[in-house]
Amino acid sequence: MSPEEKRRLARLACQVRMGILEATHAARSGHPGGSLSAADLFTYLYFKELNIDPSRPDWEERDRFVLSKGHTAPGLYAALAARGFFPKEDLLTLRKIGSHLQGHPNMNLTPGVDMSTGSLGQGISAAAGMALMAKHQHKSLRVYALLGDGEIQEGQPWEAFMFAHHYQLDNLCVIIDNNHLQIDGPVEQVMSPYPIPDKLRAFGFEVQEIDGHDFDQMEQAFARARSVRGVPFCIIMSTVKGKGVPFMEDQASWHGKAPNDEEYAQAMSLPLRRPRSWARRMCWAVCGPGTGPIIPTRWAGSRRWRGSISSTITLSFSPGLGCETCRRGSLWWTSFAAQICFC
Amino acid sequence: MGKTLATRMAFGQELIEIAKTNDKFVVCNADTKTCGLEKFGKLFPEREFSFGIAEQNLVGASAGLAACGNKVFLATFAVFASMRACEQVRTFVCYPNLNVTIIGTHAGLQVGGDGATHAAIEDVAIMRSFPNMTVVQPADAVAARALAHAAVDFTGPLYVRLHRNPVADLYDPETYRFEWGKANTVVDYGRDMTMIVSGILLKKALDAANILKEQGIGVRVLDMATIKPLDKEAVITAAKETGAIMTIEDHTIFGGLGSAVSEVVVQNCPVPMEFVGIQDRFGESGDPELIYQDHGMDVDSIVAKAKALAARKRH
Repeated sequence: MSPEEKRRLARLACQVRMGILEATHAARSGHPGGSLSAADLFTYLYFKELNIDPSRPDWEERDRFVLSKGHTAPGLYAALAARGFFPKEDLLTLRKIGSHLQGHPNMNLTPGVDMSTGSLGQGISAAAGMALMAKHQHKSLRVYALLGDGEIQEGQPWEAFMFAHHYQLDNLCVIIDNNHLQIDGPVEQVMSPYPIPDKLRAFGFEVQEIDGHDFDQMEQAFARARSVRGVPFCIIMSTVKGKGVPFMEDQASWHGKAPNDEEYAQAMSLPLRRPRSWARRMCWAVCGPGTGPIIPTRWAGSRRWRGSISSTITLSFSPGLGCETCRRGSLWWTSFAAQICFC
Repeated sequence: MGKTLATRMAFGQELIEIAKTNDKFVVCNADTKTCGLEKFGKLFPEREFSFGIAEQNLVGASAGLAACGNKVFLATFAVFASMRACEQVRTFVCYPNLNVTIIGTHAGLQVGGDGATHAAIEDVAIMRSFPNMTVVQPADAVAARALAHAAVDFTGPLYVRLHRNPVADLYDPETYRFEWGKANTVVDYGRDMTMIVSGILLKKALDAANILKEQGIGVRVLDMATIKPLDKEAVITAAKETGAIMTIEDHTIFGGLGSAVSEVVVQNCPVPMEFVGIQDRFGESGDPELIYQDHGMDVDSIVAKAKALAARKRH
């Protein structure tokens, strides 16, 4: 993947994460933790992998995505909004009366949602049924399903996995978000689903394990998934629950709790690092004079530079207002030497 | 008259006949000899999917199949469709309003020997409580065949409740017409009371009505094949014109046809009612007729309850 492509996806993932925070904060309920762990995946699917057309959400030949872990709907909604299926402002109506954005996905209300889901362990069956129907209708479309690692404690996914292998559903790509946490704590303590890869292989899947926050690995895994013939494919992605919001990361408590006003403000004004003056000048050369660039430390997608800049200050960071110069987009760190605005 | 066939077999066989000229639906099976549809795959190998003993996936994947545009018929025992896969029916078929017909066979106490575990006595109560769901139950093989044609043309979640053992044909295939949501007046012997029946117990109701007629009690018998949406007009008319209603069903007296009818009666035209159905206990193994008797669902019990109802009405 080109650096430009990766930066584009990182920028979009940042938008998706902000959408999750805005939506759950506005709703005063919802599930940010698992939405954030899968935010990079949602971004990759909707901006790179899926064959879809936002202007025709009911297009019959489109690829299908089933969010089996339906409680992470805010992540799906934020990605759909970013992709243009509906206005981003709609995110603020999440879980409110009359909104098309239900607490869990509804295929008949929300443009771009392919299956109503929410009760864990069940969406994967619907996805397998879709994949079978695509084969029955001799369509080349592909079906993707995202499950949580806690979700596979249910029995039904294993019925569906058996079924997917029995019908050789090589057009089905199962993704398991292994963020290691569920409501009560670490999954291996609550009820261990491990070893997940061995179990999926025993059920006849081709399996690939990736870092769920690495777009290069996603690209490689999805390419392999498309090339496999005769068996279903499973991508097990290791992720960080709450990824991108430092105080939410790796905290089971953020599974199903919305940020309050203070936490929202804190999440949206991450500690930002003020670049050295010479770097700032370089940025100004690109963006023009202004108040200077800011960098969201975690959302930028790279930690290589952590600790390399001594002075840090907190700057307010508004959604879609990463660059205070041009008032749109975000700023991205490209090397130790310079920050450049890619707005 | 005289011909006997189980409603489940009539429905399944007719579906196979329809499939010969209509390729707009697929069939999903779950390793049960339900309604003759086990043969569907041999005749139409591209259109039958075997799921094995996995009813939750059966319903969930059928929803996925339907979400891609095809009409889906799935068949399993009523007890599994309504309870093992209850939430899947509710959340993945009814909530998204998908075009799935659930064929629930081996309904009620008529399963006999298999006993309580396999006798679905609560399925109507469960299925009719789901929004978007339509619930139907044919009284004989003629009605079951007609219903198969109607079900193929139906759009949306549909629960078809069928019985295991052969029953005598009551209807004439030349004249019987199935109409969604419409009660069928089978006999109208007078204005002493109305028996509202759904399913194979129609035969017992008619036998009872004939006995009562000889004893001077005029009964109207309505076949309520569509339990949901209920033909409210027919119920209200029956209450107003006959002043007493008895419901008869091979189902627990809680939540089924009797409850559905009484919900309409109490809100519109309260009249004395009597409920013939399975009492508040599980079924058991044995001759179905003896089990029916045990629950007061045989002809003699129906006659006795009808007389008591007529007496209540007069007071």
